[in-house]
Amino acid sequence: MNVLSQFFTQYQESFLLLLPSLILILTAISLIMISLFIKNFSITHALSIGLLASVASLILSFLYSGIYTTQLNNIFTNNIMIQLSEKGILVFLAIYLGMMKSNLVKQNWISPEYVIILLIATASGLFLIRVTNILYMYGFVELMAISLYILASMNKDNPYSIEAGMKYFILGGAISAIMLYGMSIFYGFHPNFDGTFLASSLNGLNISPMFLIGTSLILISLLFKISAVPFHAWSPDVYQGIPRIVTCYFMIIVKFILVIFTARFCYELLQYSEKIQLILHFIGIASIVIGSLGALYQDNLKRLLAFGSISHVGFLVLMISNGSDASQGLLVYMFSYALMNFGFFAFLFSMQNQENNLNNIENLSGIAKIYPFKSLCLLIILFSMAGIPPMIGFFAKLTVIYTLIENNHVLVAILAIVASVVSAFYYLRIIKYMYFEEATDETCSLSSTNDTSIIFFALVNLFGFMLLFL
Amino acid sequence: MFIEKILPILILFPLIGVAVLMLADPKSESSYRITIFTTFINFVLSLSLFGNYNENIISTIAVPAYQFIEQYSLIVNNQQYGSIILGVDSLSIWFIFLTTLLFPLCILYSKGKITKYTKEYFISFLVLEAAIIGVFSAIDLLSFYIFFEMVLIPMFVIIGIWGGDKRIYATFKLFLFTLAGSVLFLVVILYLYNTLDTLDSRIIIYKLAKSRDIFSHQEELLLWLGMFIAFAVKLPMWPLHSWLPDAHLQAPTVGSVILAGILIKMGGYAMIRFNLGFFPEISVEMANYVIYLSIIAVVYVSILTLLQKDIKKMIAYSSVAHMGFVTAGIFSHNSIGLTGAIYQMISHGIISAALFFCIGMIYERTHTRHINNFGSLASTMPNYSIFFMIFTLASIGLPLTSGFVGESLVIIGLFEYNKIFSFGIALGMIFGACYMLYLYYKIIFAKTDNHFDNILDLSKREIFILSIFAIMTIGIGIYPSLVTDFFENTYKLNLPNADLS
Repeated sequence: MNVLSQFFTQYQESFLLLLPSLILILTAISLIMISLFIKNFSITHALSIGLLASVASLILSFLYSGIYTTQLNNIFTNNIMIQLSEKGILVFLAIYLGMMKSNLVKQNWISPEYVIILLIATASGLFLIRVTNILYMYGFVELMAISLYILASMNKDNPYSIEAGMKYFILGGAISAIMLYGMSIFYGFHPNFDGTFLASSLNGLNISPMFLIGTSLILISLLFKISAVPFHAWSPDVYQGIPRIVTCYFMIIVKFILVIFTARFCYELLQYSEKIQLILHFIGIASIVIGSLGALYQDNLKRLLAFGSISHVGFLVLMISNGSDASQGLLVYMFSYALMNFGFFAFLFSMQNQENNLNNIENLSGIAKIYPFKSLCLLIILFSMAGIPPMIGFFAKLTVIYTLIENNHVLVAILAIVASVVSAFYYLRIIKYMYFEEATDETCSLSSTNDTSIIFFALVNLFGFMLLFL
Repeated sequence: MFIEKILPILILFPLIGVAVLMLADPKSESSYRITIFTTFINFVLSLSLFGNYNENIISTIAVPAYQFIEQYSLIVNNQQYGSIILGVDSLSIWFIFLTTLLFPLCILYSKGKITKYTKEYFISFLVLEAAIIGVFSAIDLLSFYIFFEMVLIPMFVIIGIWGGDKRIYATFKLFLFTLAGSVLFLVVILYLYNTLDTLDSRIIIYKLAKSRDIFSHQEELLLWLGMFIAFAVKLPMWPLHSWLPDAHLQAPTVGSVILAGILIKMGGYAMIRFNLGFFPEISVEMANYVIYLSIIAVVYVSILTLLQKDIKKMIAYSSVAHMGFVTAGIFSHNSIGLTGAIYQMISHGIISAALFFCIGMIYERTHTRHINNFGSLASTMPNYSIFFMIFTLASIGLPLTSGFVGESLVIIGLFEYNKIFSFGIALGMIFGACYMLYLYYKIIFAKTDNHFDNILDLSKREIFILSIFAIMTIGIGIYPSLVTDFFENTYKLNLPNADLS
């Protein structure tokens, strides 16, 4: 008993630190148990329990606002960026689960396992954003990746979905191998390496040049996962194929987690070597350019969003390249990215067709006459994604451009923002179909289940700049 | 207390109108009534702005003195991060007045004419009005930029929904062209903020004037160029003008009126405030190039106008030509030219708005804009011919109309600077007379086989709208001191090596 209480008091802080993720995992396990024993345990029940769990962990994550070091120093760390992003992930998870509850019409493939795997993936993500040890990092990355493969392939009725899940699995597996290879190079050339990749411990080591090769391989695999150029080719296909509910989760929450982790990884690298900044600039500009150009003539809304998110990831990578002083700006951009995409997805979920939900852009022809209010909300959200003031998308881009100029990278700033003008075109194209065209046979109908969400996100996008005054 | 907050009220009142409109029933007349009420109250408010303006406070480009200043600051932990500052001085007050004058007339004109998306139409115009008033009353750079870009959203929707056949091409061109120019301005703003730590344009002017060593010459040149390109697209200056004819051709009448009447002036206003205010020395250096471009704009575009077959396109090109006068006057190195440029902006706002109304009125009746399809309108529409004559003469620059004052002041100012330039600009004035008289002849006097016998002459509403423009044109033309006194005493340049007169 004494030993146990000693154990708890010693690791109390760490316990509180990891409590949100632990709660999610416990909920997942209990959902497995419950679904075994209770008959007719449907997905809505699972969603309610999942929602409860995420709100609970959100509340509990506010508890630990104390010291920023833990006893588990060589595994986990904590700083204000991690804390804010954890709260953000949990908020968005709660919003996502809430939105999912009302949008399960015609989704025959979904079952409580979806929520279980979702919770495990998010929990491993929450662990991931804290981790400092390379081995543990690999563990959590793989746990998250395998959960995501399962989520992507869950719809076995739709061949596109199976193909997308298969593509994601194979490519993700290959990239994991690359990450392992990079890690092994670390360990191979630095016998005293204890696993932590924090800059402070790196500077104490005798770093051989192979360090950069190892780190580059790990960085490549991370960039693949956030779909930055030139490792972006999988994301339009995968995001288009998988069901739109899963796309929402991938594009918002998974990307949030992975970007925060890539940011942490790059911040350490940047402290070690300044040349990485140039590489990140190049990758950022290339992502913005290719994301903008790729989306220009897409017809499928999910594919368009995927290319759009490649463009947004370009801005995020540019923000990461400015170092850890700019981490607050990174969070501003991530939050506004998530809010914009949630708004768009809320609208997307309510698109209904008689046949399959094709989610093509022609399905929006002339919809503004039939649903004026919702179209106005989507107009606000689309202008926000294009970066037009006074929506929050503009302020997010402003933060990135300002941070780049502040660090004297004016040329990069100019290239980034000129390339983003191109991206305005395809968002405007959607508005064109909505407002400037007549309703055709292809026009879908919008259900009213998501009305409040759409209006809420439009208002947040429109008046979000006042939140900056908080 | 109320009068101090008049600028935020001027901006927010149309937005309150938008909120009320959202709840209105699109099928009834109520959306029109709400909008006309809102825009009329805005006009009355701007008149009270005029009334309470203190003319004894002198404001110059170098040391601007704003009135009715309202500041909303972002203060976090007792540290001020930035603020929205609104204020008017003798330059911006005229543009705010022009805006609030044009909008009620536009809404009055569109009564009963909009059948599809009625509510969205009025909502777009109210948002547009709020954004334009915001542009002219913004003192700090970030809110200027925000309002500057916000203007694009309603214009995109207005041209795209209620426009002509090729409206989608035109509206995308307008939006993307202007956006591309403006983002360069954004980079300049952020660069200035990074170096000078402030977004308040008064403080920036002061800091830049106090010490010439903050930026190297090359940096200053690039910053000036960045801002110049953004405003040159907006103005529009040749060669960045190609969006304007398309936008005007495809826009609805009222959209063209606002576009030519106000939106174009935002570019000129910004050039005076920011290009001349922040970097006067670079402006002096680059003036020759700008004046070359302006002369090309005036002369070349005027010749182009003669070749057009579409009457709306002729007036659109003539807008580019008139804006050439404006840029030539701004960069003419003396205050006469600058006064002429400002005056030309105000008078062109009135004249081109009136001309676009005229073109719109006959397009509505005949559904054609081809110049060969008209003729003999003098007999069928005599009232219209009178008004059209007034505005044609004003556009040419006949003395006793406002067009003359602006153009002659610019020519005089350029003459003092460089005689050859003024010759070039005056040549443009001659071509202006050519195409306007040709247009008038073809529409009103020419004998054709097309008999539009069933055309009604102007309705009472149209007479009311056009007569307001006519009164203003002739009134300002006969007594230009009404306008120029207002800012001739209050507007002095502090240019090095320049002649102050």
